[in-house]
Amino acid sequence: MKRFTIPIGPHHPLLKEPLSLLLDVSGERIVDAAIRIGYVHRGIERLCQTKTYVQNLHLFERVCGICSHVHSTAYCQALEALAGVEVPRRAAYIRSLLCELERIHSHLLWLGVLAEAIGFTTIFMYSWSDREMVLDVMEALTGGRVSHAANVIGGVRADLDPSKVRDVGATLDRLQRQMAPFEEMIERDRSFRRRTRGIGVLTRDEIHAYGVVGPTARASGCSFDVRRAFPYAAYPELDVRVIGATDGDVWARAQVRVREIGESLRLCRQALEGLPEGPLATRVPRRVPEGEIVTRCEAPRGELLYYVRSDGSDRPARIKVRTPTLPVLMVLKHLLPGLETADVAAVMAGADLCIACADR
Amino acid sequence: MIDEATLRELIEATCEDGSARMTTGLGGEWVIDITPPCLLPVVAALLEAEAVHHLTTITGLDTGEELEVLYHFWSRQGLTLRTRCARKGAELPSLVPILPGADWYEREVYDMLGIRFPGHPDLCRLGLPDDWEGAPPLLAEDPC
Repeated sequence: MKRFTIPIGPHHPLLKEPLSLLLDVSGERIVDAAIRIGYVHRGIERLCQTKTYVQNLHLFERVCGICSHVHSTAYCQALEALAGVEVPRRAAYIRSLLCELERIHSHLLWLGVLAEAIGFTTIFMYSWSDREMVLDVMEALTGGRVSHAANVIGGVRADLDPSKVRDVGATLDRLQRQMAPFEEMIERDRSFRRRTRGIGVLTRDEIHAYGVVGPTARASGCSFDVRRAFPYAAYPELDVRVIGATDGDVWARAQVRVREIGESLRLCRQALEGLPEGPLATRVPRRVPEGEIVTRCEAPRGELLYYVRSDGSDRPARIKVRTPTLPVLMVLKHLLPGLETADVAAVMAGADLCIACADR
Repeated sequence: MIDEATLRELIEATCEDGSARMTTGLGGEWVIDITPPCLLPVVAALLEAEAVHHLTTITGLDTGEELEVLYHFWSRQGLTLRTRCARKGAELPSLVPILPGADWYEREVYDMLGIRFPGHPDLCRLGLPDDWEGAPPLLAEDPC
């Protein structure tokens, strides 16, 4: 059969971010795939070397428009460790609370994108309207829907008074009730199962070989979760349960993410109940002592790594950011060949890509 | 997953020239300094012994005198291999033949610092445009 190439992107019909995908097809079957990123490369790792640590807080929060808080958390955590400063417990709890809210809204966003990609517009509408509730809570807590600017080096800026704690608690209860239809759809809906079961299967060996992390890895039977393996913020005091599945297909990824929303809701409640009194931030000097550090956080898509090297001045000598989308993109190139073209949308949307994160 | 003593033995047995040095740093991680010729055998031994869970990323940086490359692995805790190469004609062996997940990270180091990785199946740009002609962005400017 004649082979030809379908170029998809960089202005992508499915994703809101630019990504070039070249699919070599023979009939309906994909024979080869090429992926090119870099269309939103902003040179952040170079740019940060010309700015002070305080200015860079603003910059690193803008690596990603979905998981902005976890980026600033990882960045602050690295500097606090270098400066030998301990973050007040109240600040650690607020950081974890926002991390979990962010995970809920990221997973809901993802569920909507997947549902739309396989023609399930109703679920897209439901999940994105529920996501609005989370964004409203985050706006009430920090003043921003997606860029929260909640962290400062040494703690947090945004505080929670008792009335806010009550409001957040009420929204969490409402969200909890909204989750049942999603779980039911994943478990029972025939068309959803047909479009996602057995599609885009990743084995445990592939997960290890490509270093895939986060919910995608946990859907393939790998239990790595930074909140357990390398607890940060308030996670050493919270009861983090790792959600897993073994099928490794798009369906298992949906199952894991929707259950993780439930877990995150539970962790949010725990953080609100256990919220200690005390100061919000410790003062950190503008100049960070000479040294280098690696720090990790569990972003909604998986392990996020920050490497910071300081030469003792008020500007970083080097900061490296590793976001969890990169290994998924790497493995996609090997996952797509063999699939039918109609399944590409489910696999691409099911991979939970964040191109801005990957490009930096 | 591997413990510290076994890891130390494994590294010493693999780098017979005694050039490897294992310390604790980077916020409590195992940091192993190795020479470029030891890189491939050490990673192969780590994979063989199932001592590492995954490769998180590769960081390249320019100290002004030489280039440093750090391989950030996750074992039972963080494990970083550090190696150095000269700034002129920088080259390091590619890990891709034994660890496919190193592919894009090596491309990124090539993109940002110009280090070549012989053995890499397709060492091309990752973040920068294909027709980029300037110096690698993360190289420190030449003092002259």
